[in-house]
Order: sequence, then C-alpha cells, then structure tokens
Amino acid sequence: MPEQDEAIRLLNVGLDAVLNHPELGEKWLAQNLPILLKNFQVEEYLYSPSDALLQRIDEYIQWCEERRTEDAGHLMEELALLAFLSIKGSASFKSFQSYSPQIDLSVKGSDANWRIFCEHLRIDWDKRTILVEAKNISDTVDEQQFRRFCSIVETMFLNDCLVGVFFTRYGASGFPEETEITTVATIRQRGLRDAAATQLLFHARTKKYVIVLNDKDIRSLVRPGAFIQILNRKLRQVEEWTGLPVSFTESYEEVDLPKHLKRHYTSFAAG
Amino acid sequence: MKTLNLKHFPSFKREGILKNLNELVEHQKELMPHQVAVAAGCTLDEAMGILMLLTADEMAEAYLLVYHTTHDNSSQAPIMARKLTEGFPETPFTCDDCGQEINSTHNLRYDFLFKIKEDMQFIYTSE
Repeated sequence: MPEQDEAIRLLNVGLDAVLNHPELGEKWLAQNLPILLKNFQVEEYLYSPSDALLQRIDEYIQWCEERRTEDAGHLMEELALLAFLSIKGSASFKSFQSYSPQIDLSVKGSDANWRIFCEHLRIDWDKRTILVEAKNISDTVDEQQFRRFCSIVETMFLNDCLVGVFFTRYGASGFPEETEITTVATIRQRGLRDAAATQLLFHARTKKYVIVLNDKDIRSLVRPGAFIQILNRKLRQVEEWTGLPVSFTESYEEVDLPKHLKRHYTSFAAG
Repeated sequence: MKTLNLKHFPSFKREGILKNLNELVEHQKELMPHQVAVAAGCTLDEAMGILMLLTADEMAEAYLLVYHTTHDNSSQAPIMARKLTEGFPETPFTCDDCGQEINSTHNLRYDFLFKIKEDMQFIYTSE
C-alpha cells in the first residue's frame, strides 16, 4: 500500500487525466480541485527543498552576513535553479545567452505533477515555461532591468511563457516594503511607481506576469511547500494589487479589511 | 447505460483490454486502482486516471482508505475510509481498531476506493 507521497502522486495522475478531459471534468474540478490540493497537502508534496538547496540557502545567509568572496551572481543563480529543481515535475532546464550579457534560465515540466503545479498557480498549460532571472546586486532591481526582463518574457517566449520570476536580494524598485510598523494604514503604499508600475502595466497589456522574490522569500524556501505558496501569492498580488508587501510566514492569514469590517471578522474568528 | 470513452488511453484501443475492464465493472461495484490495473492489464497510473474520470463524470464516488501498519498484517483492513475531498486525516488521532495514538504519518499507508454508482460501460472511439 502506498505511503503518503505515492498516494499524492497517484492523485495527481488522476487529476491530470481529468484535466485532459475538460468537457467531462470542468465542473467537478472547479468544485473539488482547490480542496483536494489543500487536504492532500499537495503544495508540500510538490515542493520539498533538496539537501543541496538547504545547504546553499545556509551559505547564502552566511554570505549576506560575512560578505564572502563567492561570486554573488552565481550564488543567486544556483539558488534559483535548485529551488525549481526541488519542484516535482520540473524536467527541462535551459540557460541561454540573450542579446545582453545576462544569462537566463527557463524551466519547464510535462508530467502530471507539473500539470497540477500549473493548475494550482493558474498557469496555462501551453504557456508552462517559467523564465527565471537571478540578480544578486546590492540594490533593488531598477525599472530598466525589470522592463528588459518583461520584454524577454513577452517577445522571446511569446507563446511559451506566462510567468517570469526574479530572484533578488533587495527586491525591485517601487514595491511596498515591510517595516517594523504593523498598522496596515501606515504601510499601505497608495501610489505606483518604478518597477512596480511596470509590473502591473505589463500584466494589464500582455496578461503575463513578472514577479520578484527577495531575501526574505529566499530564506523561506527551507520549508516544504513554501516556494509554491510564495509564487502563488505573488502571482495573485499582480491581479489584486493592495499596496501591501507580500510577506510569507507559516501562520499567514490574509485579512485586509477596513476597520468597520475587520471588527466583524475579528469577533467571528474569535468564535 | 452510461458510457465513458477511453480515447485518451491508447492501451485500451486493444479489444481484449477493454473487454476485461468491462467484465470487471459488470461484476464489481467497488474498485481499487491496482485491482483495475491487474484485471485490465493496464498500468496503475492509467487505472487511477480512469477511475478519477468516472468520479469527475459523477459515475463513481471516490474514497481514501487509510491503513495502520502496526496492526497484525493478516487483517489488511483499512482503519478508515474518507471521502476523497477530505484528504489525509490530521494527526494526532486515535486508531479505532487498536486504540493507539497515531502522532505521525509514518505508520500510515493509503489506497483509493471507487464506488460505481450505476451500471456503465467503457468504450473506445477515437472521435
């Protein structure tokens, strides 16, 4: 009899078969897929950080603290590659030299696990290639760099790619930052500028996504399921811009309500 | 009688396999993936795919069977059958059979059961 991982694998195979029959299973999937993914802990199954990734994250943290001599760019590229390698179903990894010196990475899968990964993140199957750019620079990714990556996602991978992912240390310019201040009203960013504006305009125009992982996200990758949860929330944030930083904690609860509504939620949650 | 077209499962193009599968569902209304694979001569993955299609088409109800492996192996009976959408049981919980407190999934094993709700037949047409 199968252990837990094999049971989830079989479930994914079954769900893949249903996804291949939209005329038959569309209604059933709409009703049942989200709860199946949750109750079978599919996120934790699909993403389990490898020993190599855990070690590299540890070395990255030490690098941040001690400023080692290791090549910063290579380190970030390795983190990106190892993170995607830790997703079950990722199979094709390509690195190419674009028209500028930057080396990019494209990731793609074809099996049932990658199918469920895409379905969970609402990535069209025919655009299931994910493009990755690693930037371990000492500042935020500026608008020009962000726009350049958007251009690659749009033009060089026109029909194959829906999502581009930046791996960075300091994020990109114009994105809301986490601060010590906990009041939502204080930290909510009301204006759009720089790379953050480009992100939303790019999505509005092309329906494609370019999202940014930062230092805090990278350090979170040690937990099973974390990478998928981070990707999912950052993709949803593009669609539902709130002006709040997208943070990820184990006990994450998203309650973004004005005061007169939040009091009802608080008393409801208290039971 | 309702039918399910197995056009996306090339193995079932062969008449013998389709016949075996239809004989199975004629006599058995509770099916497990390995049982279908053995009877029909297909892979476990194909069997699971077919049974999930039956579920999605509302011709079957799917369950997750949970086994406690520290039991006497001769029994092999599941300690619970959960509706598929309920997923894995949360730990800790107490095994109803042996009374042991189960704190992790280490001693748990799983399988799937599909209860066919009505008479049906598998077909294979390429359109």
